[in-house]
Amino acid sequence: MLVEASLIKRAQSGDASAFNEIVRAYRKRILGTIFRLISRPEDVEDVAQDVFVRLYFSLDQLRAPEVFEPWLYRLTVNAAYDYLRKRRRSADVRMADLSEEQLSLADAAAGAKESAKQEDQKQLRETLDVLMDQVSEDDRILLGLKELQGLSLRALSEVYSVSENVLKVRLFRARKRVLKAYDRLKKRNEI
Amino acid sequence: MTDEREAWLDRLFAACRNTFGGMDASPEFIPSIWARIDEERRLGWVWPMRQWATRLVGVAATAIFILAAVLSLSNGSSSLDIREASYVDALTADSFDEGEGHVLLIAETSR
Repeated sequence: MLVEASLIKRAQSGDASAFNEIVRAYRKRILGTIFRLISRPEDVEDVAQDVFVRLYFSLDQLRAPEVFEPWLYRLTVNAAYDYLRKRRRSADVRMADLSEEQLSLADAAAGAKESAKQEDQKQLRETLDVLMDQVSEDDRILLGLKELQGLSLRALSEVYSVSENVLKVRLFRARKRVLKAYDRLKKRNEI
Repeated sequence: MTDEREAWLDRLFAACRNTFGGMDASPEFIPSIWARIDEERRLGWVWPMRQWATRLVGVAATAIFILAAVLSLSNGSSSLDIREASYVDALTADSFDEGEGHVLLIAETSR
């Protein structure tokens, strides 16, 4: 754990400075996790703030400080899940936003030439984004936590409160669906 | 073929895993969290009040409806009683008067 159990207990009793310390300790990790799950840099901070607001209001429900991390991951997953569902609902609006964003990115790219490596990385991310957009939020988040965030099966089983075997099956099926989406997109020359 | 595709997916995930460099929040990150907490608290106070008010309006409307229904029923039945009562009363009174008169008349003639 990145913080002591006593700090969590202090935050639970309403100590604002203890809560701030927890935010400072976990902020980078949460931002990274959300970035991997939603792949929208412009929205990462907003979703991360949402996670910490949820944390603040549900701290009193945490019974044992030892399970703080899986519990924080669960809050992160829920916030990412809500964000992805909202984004899917307003897909048309987002498309308009994206085209503006792409324009501004293109402008920025004209000013500062990207290196070939950065370009490759960008393309990989875009490929993954396209694939992840084809599967459900559940699959996306599970694969994001396992394959991108690098959580172990044991850590995942604590987050999801299911056995490792159940997770293995879910991961296997999620990967199959991603590959199926890849085949479909490749057939239509969209990838 | 399947293994190749699986391996390709693994490579894609691995490559993307490495592209997500450590990002940090803006200096406004923590103040914004507190602003949102305060906002939630404010809404947290207003929201139950609003729910309570909505429920109260609902309960009041139901109570008024029930009261109106009860009153209209009781008025209806009482007015019916009154109507019936006055009719029966009128008849009884008539027949009683007539009967009594008749009885009285018989009594007087027999005397």
